[in-house]
Amino acid sequence: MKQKTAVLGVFAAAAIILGYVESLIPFFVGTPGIKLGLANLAVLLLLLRHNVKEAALVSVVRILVIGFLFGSLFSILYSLTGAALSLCVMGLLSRFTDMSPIGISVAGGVSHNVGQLLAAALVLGSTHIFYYAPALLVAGVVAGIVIGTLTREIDRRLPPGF
Amino acid sequence: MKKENAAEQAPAAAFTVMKKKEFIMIGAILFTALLLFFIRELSGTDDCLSIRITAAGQVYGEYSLLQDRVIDINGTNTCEIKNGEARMTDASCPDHYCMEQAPIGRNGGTIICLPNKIIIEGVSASGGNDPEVDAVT
Repeated sequence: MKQKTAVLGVFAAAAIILGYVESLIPFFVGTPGIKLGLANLAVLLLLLRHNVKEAALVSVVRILVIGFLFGSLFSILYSLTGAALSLCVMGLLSRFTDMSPIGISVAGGVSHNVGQLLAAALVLGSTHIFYYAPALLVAGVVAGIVIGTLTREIDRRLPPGF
Repeated sequence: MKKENAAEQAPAAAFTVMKKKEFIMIGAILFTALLLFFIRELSGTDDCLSIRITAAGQVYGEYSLLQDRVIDINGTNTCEIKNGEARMTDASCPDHYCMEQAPIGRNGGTIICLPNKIIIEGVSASGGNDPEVDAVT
């Protein structure tokens, strides 16, 4: 890995573009917070091919850039909470277990949603938000399977060194 | 161990195949979701006649679902009751998630506006509504 900075830059750019693409897709099913998390594709790929530190770096850059471009300070705080928990879980799983990208991605998607639920419950000072917990858990699994499958296929085709 | 040279070599085939424990994990998550869903549905009411609006932790007011009306909440959100259903029709936040949430009808439900910390929930009591009191707060 000679051009680490360049590779990380490419991944960050890919994550930001994916976040933009996702913001164009009207993807709403009656519950707030449900989305595919396309940008997680780049982060997961980094996690599998490099390490947690680099995935975390790109994840934070991506959240800040996407947040300031298309969101608000409010949505940035939520994204950071979800992403932090999600990265911790995925980092631990990829280091200490032999789970496939799909399993890691599912765990990451679900923990992302759980993190956002907890943050929302803290902000609201009420547990009403857990009304959405069942839908968000299922959505985390579905999004995790989709992103995990995509990541696995990209990983197979991307040349080593990236 | 697989992490050491992950960048340099293509991942081993075994690494890309889903393991039994992953299916167990997914099953456990889905089971939890189902459990939470049933707890939610069983503890909820199916004879919801009014809504309670809570803003920043304080009860803002209770309004009957049987009476069509438009409720202004702190000047940031607007809740409309029409044909026995309540929905958020306006919000000052940028994402407008609350306006897209499913309306609250006889089967209850919850609408939450996170940026403005507003919760609208269906309640079974056909609660008293006193717009004058609410207008002050």
